Amino acid sequence: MASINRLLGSITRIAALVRKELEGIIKDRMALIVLVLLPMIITFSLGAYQFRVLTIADYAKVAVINQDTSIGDPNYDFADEFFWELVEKANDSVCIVFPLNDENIANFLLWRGDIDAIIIIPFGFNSHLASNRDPEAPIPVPAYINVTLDGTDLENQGKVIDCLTSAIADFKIRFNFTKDEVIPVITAVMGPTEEQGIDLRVTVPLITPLLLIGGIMILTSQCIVGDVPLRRLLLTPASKSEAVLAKVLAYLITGIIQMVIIIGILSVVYHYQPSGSYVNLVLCLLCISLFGITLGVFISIISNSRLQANQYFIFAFLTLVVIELAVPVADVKNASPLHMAREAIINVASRGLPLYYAMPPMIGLLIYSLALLALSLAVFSMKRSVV
Amino acid sequence: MAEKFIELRGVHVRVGGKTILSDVSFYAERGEILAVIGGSGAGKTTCLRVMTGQIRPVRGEVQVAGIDAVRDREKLEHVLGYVPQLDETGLYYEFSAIRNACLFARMYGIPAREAKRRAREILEVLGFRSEELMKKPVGQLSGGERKRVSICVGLIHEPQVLLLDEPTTGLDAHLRVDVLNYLRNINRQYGVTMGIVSHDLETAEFCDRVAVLEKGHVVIFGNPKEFVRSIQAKYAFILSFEKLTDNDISKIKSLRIVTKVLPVGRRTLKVFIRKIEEPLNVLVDELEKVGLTPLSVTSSDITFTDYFRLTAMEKEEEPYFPRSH
Repeated sequence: MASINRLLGSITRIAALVRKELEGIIKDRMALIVLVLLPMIITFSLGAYQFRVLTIADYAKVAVINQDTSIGDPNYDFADEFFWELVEKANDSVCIVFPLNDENIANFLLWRGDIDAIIIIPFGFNSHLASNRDPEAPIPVPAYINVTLDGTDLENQGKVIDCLTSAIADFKIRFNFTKDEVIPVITAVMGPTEEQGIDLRVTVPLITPLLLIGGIMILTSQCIVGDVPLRRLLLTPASKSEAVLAKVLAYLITGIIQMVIIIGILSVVYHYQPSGSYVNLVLCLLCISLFGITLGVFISIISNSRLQANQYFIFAFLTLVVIELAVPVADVKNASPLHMAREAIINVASRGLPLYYAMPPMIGLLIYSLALLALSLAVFSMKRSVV
Repeated sequence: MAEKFIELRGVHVRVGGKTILSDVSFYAERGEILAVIGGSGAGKTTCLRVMTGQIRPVRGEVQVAGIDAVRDREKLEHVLGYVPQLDETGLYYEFSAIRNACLFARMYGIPAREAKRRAREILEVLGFRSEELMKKPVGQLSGGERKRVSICVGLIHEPQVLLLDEPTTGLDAHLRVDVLNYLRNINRQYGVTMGIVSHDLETAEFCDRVAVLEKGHVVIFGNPKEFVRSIQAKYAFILSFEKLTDNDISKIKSLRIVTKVLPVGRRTLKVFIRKIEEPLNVLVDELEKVGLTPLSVTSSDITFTDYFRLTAMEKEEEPYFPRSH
């Protein structure tokens, strides 16, 4: 009987504690947001592929340059037929295929990131394929296609390869080619070089902003809520806006130190070298750092406790990562600051674009940073702080 | 007529539909020390926040050093020094005393060298004798030392008024007296007007004026010495008895030399005696006449705490001891 009473007492206490915890969660709006919104974002992101509405941003852009003037089968222009085969397969592979005449313009567009691949049908494509239609031909004479891919974008590389292989397969079936008559020669440019060993040019644009944004955010998300004597300081002539700006500037200096460490390790340990100038890379990283700082400061201002700031940080960081890695909708991705940061690094470090061309994602990050700063100042000025 | 330097007139504060302060009025003249005393929830911290301009009253006027604290809060920053209750809310523990003071001084635009000079000077007045102590991180200092650093920070910009929130809370008895003595020294040396919020009645002994708050109302306001005079006693003795009943207390009260009687323990009384020759001998004789022999008689001071307790006791009109006695 005594043991039953003890058990009942224990159950009662546990029930009371459970109720207390639930009440705490219900009263804590942040906890509710994390509980409800985070799984929603992740689940919708993973399932979004099925329901997505594709926009122009989702498509890989492929320029096809037909350089073939050779004489082949009198009934068919194989180069032309192959182009149309690519056009036909493009939509299924989420690609847009269009003709272009000038190879230099195509290379320029690829370098700037306006297109994702160049397919060149070289001189001899027609004649080589025509010679293969002779049933007496002992071995196939391959007709090569030169494909140049943007090595910085793995996702679009996949789309182009998919489009290319389907087009080749159907083309061969249609014209009864049964051997290796059509061979694509694929080159990825602006991607990792062999001596770098690992895919630094692909991983650096993702890892660097993650490190910079995450690293600085975890510090700045505590900078106001954790600075208890700041409330006392605000009884002096120091204003709230001065306090916020001072925090941002101080952490920008910290961000520069982080930057030096990251670039230093990449250069010294992994022999990583950006394609563009170091000055542009530093400017780009500064923009990324500034975004991380202003987001962290904003989190710190809206939080009422250090714990809450940690929750907000995890929520914001996970959201950024999930959008970058799991959301297959390009328009959503393009609006994400982490994606902008990645694009900015690709532009200045992988493509080596001059600042003028590399600016759009950096401007996007600056706009986000200024908006967050303005919001932080507005919220902080309204927030009642008493000592 | 002396200038009123801290003044609350008919102040009414409501927070979340609840009245925190109701028609609160008190003042301190230039150079005085004012104590605002009350228990938990009496509204003393709200008074302080009203004086620092952190809370706007719904009604009433607040003047600090001639500045309207409701309308000109920004002007207050230069004339007002503030010492919060908890040192961790006003000091950076990883910084030294000097560094903390200099940081706050910089907020007022005081040059670094001048800030250091002032910090050293104030810290010396506050009993920081060694340079080593001044340069030690605040986190490594004792509670009393930290409190003094907090006071130094509040004084660094040479304010005309210094407001202190519970400056003696959490300190040992001897440290409490030390801190209050240091405040007295500061008051004398710099002529700074002080407002001390405290739950500790002992604080009033060090002050020129006292306002006692109860549930948002001022119940006592004036000069503590005058309140003490109102007991109409010249001497006080603490008497211990082997046994003490309500009847015994009534007998003591009826003695012609006794003005008031205050129980201070189960078998101990504080007896207030009017101005007479040889009060101790007379008291013992008088007690023997009514059949009471104390185990011990100790001379004591007459304090504001005595006045307060006597007033509270008379107001409640309760017997000295619970019925079980």
